[in-house]
Amino acid sequence: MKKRYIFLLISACFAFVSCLDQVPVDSVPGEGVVKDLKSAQVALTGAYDAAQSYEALQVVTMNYASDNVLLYSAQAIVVPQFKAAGTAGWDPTDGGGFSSYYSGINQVNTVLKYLPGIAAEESRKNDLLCQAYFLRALAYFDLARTYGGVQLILEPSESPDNGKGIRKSSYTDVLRQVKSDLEQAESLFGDGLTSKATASVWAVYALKARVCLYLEQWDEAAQYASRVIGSGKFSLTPEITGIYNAPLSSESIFELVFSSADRLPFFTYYLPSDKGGRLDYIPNPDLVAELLNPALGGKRAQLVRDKGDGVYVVEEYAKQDGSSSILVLRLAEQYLIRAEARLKSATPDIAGACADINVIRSRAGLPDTELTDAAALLRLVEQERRYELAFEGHRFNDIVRTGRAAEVFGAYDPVFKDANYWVLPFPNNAILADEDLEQNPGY
Amino acid sequence: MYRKPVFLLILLAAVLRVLPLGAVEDGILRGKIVDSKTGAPLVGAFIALEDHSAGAAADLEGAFSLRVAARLPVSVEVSFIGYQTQILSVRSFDEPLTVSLVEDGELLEEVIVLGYAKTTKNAMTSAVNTVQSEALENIQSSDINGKIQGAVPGLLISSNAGIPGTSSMVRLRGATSITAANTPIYIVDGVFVSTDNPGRTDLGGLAIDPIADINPEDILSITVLKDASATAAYGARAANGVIIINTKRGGYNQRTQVNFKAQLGLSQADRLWELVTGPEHAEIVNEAWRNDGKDWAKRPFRPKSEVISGSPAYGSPEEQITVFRLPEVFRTALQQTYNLSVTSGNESTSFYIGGEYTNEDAILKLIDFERMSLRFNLDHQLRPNLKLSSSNAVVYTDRHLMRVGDGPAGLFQAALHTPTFQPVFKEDGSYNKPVSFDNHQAILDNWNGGSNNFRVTNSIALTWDIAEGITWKSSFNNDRSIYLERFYYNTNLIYGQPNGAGVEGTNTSNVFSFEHLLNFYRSFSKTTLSAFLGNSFQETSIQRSYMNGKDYPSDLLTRIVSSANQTATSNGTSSSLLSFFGGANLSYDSRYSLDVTVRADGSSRVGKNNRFGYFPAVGAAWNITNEHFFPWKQTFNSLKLKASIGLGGNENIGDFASLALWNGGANYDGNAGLEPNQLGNPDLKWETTRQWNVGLNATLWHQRVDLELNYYDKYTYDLLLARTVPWKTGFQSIVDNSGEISNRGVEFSLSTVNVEKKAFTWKTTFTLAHNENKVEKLTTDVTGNYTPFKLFEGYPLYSMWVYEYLGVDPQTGDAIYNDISGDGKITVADKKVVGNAWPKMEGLLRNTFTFGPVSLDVNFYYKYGNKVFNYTRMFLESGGTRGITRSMQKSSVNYWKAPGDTGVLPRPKSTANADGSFNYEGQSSRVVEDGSFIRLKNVTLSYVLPTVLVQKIGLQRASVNVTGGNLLLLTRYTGPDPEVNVNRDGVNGLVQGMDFGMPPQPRSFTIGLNLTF
Repeated sequence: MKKRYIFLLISACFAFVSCLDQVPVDSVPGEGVVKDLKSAQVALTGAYDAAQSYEALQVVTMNYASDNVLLYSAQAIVVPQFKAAGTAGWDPTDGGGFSSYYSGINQVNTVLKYLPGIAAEESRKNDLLCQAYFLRALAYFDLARTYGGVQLILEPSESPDNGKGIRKSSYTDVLRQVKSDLEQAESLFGDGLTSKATASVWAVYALKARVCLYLEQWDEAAQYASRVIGSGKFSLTPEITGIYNAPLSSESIFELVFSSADRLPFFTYYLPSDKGGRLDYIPNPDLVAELLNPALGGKRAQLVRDKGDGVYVVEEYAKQDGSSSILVLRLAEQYLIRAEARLKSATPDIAGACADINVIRSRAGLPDTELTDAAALLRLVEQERRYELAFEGHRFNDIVRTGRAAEVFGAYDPVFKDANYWVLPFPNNAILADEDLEQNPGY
Repeated sequence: MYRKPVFLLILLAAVLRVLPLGAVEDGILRGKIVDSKTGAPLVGAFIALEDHSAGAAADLEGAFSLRVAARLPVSVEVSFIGYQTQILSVRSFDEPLTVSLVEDGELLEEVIVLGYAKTTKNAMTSAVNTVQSEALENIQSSDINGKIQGAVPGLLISSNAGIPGTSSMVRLRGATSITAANTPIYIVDGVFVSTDNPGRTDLGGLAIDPIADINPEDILSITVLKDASATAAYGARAANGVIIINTKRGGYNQRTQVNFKAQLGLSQADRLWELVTGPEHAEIVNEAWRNDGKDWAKRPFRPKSEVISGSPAYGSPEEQITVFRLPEVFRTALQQTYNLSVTSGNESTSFYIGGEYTNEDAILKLIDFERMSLRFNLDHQLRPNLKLSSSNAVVYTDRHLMRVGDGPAGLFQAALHTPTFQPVFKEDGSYNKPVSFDNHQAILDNWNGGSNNFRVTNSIALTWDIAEGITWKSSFNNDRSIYLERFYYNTNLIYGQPNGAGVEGTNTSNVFSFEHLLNFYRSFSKTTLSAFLGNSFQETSIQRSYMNGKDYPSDLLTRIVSSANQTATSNGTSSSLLSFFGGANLSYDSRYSLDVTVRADGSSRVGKNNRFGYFPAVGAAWNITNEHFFPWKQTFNSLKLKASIGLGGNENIGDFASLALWNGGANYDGNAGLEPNQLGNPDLKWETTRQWNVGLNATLWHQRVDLELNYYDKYTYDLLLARTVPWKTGFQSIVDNSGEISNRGVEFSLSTVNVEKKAFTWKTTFTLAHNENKVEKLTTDVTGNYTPFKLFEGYPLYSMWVYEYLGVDPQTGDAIYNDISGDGKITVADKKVVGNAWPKMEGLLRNTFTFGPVSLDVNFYYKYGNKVFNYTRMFLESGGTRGITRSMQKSSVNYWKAPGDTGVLPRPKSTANADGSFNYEGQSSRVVEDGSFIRLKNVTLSYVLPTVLVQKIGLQRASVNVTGGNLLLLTRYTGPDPEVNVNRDGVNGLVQGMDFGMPPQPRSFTIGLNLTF
């Protein structure tokens, strides 16, 4: 009997050392994750999933920083400096989404590093590659317009030391990198349009038009906008509500789609509690007043809705099941890009610009503009952009890049007169985590 | 679901059948049972024939008379709780018999089992506290943490909320970890029981407590192992201390004893928040509007006739109504507990069966806790040297749950934070939901949610006495639970928009282990050697599955089958631990004792390069009273000095934290995707805590004074820390071993018997613990889920990092903050650590008075010197900066109105001051408060009914008692209760000492009945 027990003890001691290897069932090893076309496609799908996160944060952050949207509980324009200290109460933007962009970039970098080495049909490889380049361009573009200059990381992170020593590039250099990624994509893409829910060459052109506008390369901006407008693949919806009532409208060039199983959280931010939301944000009453004015907003009054007690709420993201899309690129913006570029070109095209503006005004049920003066027309473009693209995150940068922030935002809060506050601060924890990252001045 | 404790009735019926009935009279044995020291009668002590065919209890004078239907000589057994059982041989009925029972406490040389080791109280070198079941008796709580709060110096237990069945913060000798858990391990009858919160639905700061699955009435003793010498045998899990719970068992040759206990109580919130009236709210908001320099014509509270598009008018201040919602959501709560237990044993088999039914309503409506448990402990002697023991518990808990703290959909938040000027219903009779909160009445009318847990804990062990002093024990243990939660939100609730939503989830947890243990215990003249050698393997796995349904055809259909859109998810994780351990204790002449222990643990959680960790400890003790030269032998029963040093580990991190992983679920547009989840670290290993302890134990004056003093020093290195990495990598952190924390502290306990007379005894217990926690080394700052909780090198965990509020400028009415950087601006650089959640002192003072059959137990619990971040007040005292969206507390009206005003709040204003600060800055020391308190935790008055009376109705003993819980709370804290603590950081637990909308501890009254057959 004694012997049997000793045998039991010995077997217990040695039989189970192997049991210390537990295998995760919900994850795969990071090493060699992109190894064939299918796994590259899966990783790229993951990169779109990441884009859903950072684009959502981009829209929320930029809406919230501008004078189009108020934080309802504070009833105030949120000065970006609040965020550095995290004192604006609950901040769903995670300091502007800084970490989300880089996790998306890391993912795309993994695809860009390993995909070229995979033996597969060239055209299918190229299709995935250009989508990856486009997503990286989008992430860096939005990083630049949120924070100004940022660190350019073009290799995947396989150790915590990736990018060590890389400091911030200037705002312009970041935009140049964006342009270069777009050019890579442009050169590899075919001109098909299989889905507006993923990147196409048309999305590349449209984003390039926007980047050129930010870089003040007016003629190139107009040229790329023209390629999209003239392609015949896109048309304005008859009513502005058409852009968000159903996904992938005729006007959409690239949008991030959501569903009730993969929800965009905006409904909780923008809807009141009786519709299942938290009403974190409301449209600025000043903007509401203008949208409701038939001579200014026209039919764009439909973008807001009285929730029943005189407080207006945003309609664009009102799908209660979370299936509203993020409209990343749409045709109306391309008209307004081209109008602005034509006006600012070394050889201004006033008539062309007016025609572009009138396309937008006409859908809003407004008469054609009678203005002819370039400066006045530029102010009209700014105004049309404010109403037309009201809740899509453009307003803050439209005012900043045209040098009007001190005047426009300064009227709400004198803090905005200081140019330091025309970009957001990096999250304090991101600064602490990276000796190569310097906080933006003034924060 | 079973609402009635049916099984208790069945048990009762079964037990009554086997009760011994009358016997033929042969003679009457008379006598008295007394305490061996005082000679005081032992009321209720029991004398029985050894075969248990007859028995009698001692009356108020300690006298008994026992009818004996057997021929002389006969063996009788005399027993009483807290005393050693004696067996005597009776040779004659003529002489009255006087039996002197010896108290259990005197058993310094009795062999006891402490963890894996066999030892005697005398030979112990470690810092260990044991709480016996009698000490738990009078404390009103449905879980053990509530029962032992304060009783073990160094074991800090803070209740998170006044809600039964939810978790407490438990810290033994400070906190050693930042990201791995800080909770001690709990071992019930040899089974390592799971302490992980099985729930996944966010309850806004409440967490389900698996420890609440243990019925406190089943417990015989709770032993807390504190120092390295005691805990080293638990190796990689020992750093946070070990709590060993032994449940009741039957004794061999023990007469059948049936115990019934019932308790019925009511509880109520003692204090709640006082809010402003509607007109006061309006005035403050308008004042803020004015001070912000906004367009006065657009002020929110203006006559409704002044219509401005986009800027609603809510009517002038004096038109506002006032609705106080808080009284609507609290209630007088009922609690009831019934326990029935049976113990018995013959010469080879003994058992304990305990059945329980508890139903406790929370003072906040919609929440309750129900528990049904059955425990069956069996010991059977297979052969004279082979024993089979088994401990089994089957527990079913059923909870109605409601989100409590953080989150707009919660009942409590809705009632507290919805502005008082808002009506409950709209004019059309529908629920008014003007702000982000749900409507409290809608929640009360429509809430449907809760969980249940079915848990089985088993242990089966075979003990073989191989030779004298050598035993072998093999045990197989198992702790399984199936937790099911179900919430349905109909169309009247926020979460149910637009057409209803439901979630149902299952969490299956499974801990399996086996253990082999060889023990040696032998005395050679003056020397005693005790040694053990063991091996164990444990595997833990958790499997979860969740289903969601959206869009229901009707509010009457609440299950997911009826919904139009259904989604589901499932996931799982597992870990294993393989261990070898051994130890020896050598004691000489009851004077010197030396302990050596070592454990090797291999864990699946740590990196491949560091699979095994080794945890040794040594301890020594010197009992001076047994030295020849010791002069005060009359005074001191014992005086022992002890010291120990050793290592303990903590491996409580994610099961796969060391691997580089990509996760699934990164889906887009209906396609499956993968995303990077974490960077790998093959060098990852345990946290190691080095601890030394020096202590002194003394018992004086015939054990009337018992005191223990310990000083410890713990230093933890290789902290498992999510070290932040540059965010540009796409990751924010990597888990590695960096960082160091120290804990140093003193623990003191004193038990005295102040008066011990026949008619009156008075006993006192006092405990005091002090711990200094400090983060010694930190490579990068770590912030909790709430920014004020940030870690810094040189400061304790749970430090509060805020702007230092210096008061109001009497001239301008604006807030002044300490400009530490001196740049004239208030920026992040001006934040500082203003305090932490650690008490400077903590403990209890308990007095027990016995006047014959009446006893009174008065128990105070105190905490001194801890800070509370009153986040609730931050929201409620916001000076109009939150406009029409949140309510305010009454103190808000006392703001600066004219130059010269002092002792007031800043003037209402939401725009920045010249220095960039804000008058109602949320992260300010203005809301960091002193959380010291003294609570009269319970007062129990009990009465033992006269034996002669109860025997007439066939009882052995009967007592009734009345308990008042939380009768008095002395504190300067401005909120209702300083002992509330939101649980918002999961396992990391960096956020401690934050009051974020948690219901206060209730005041309660309970009556109880205790019957022994």
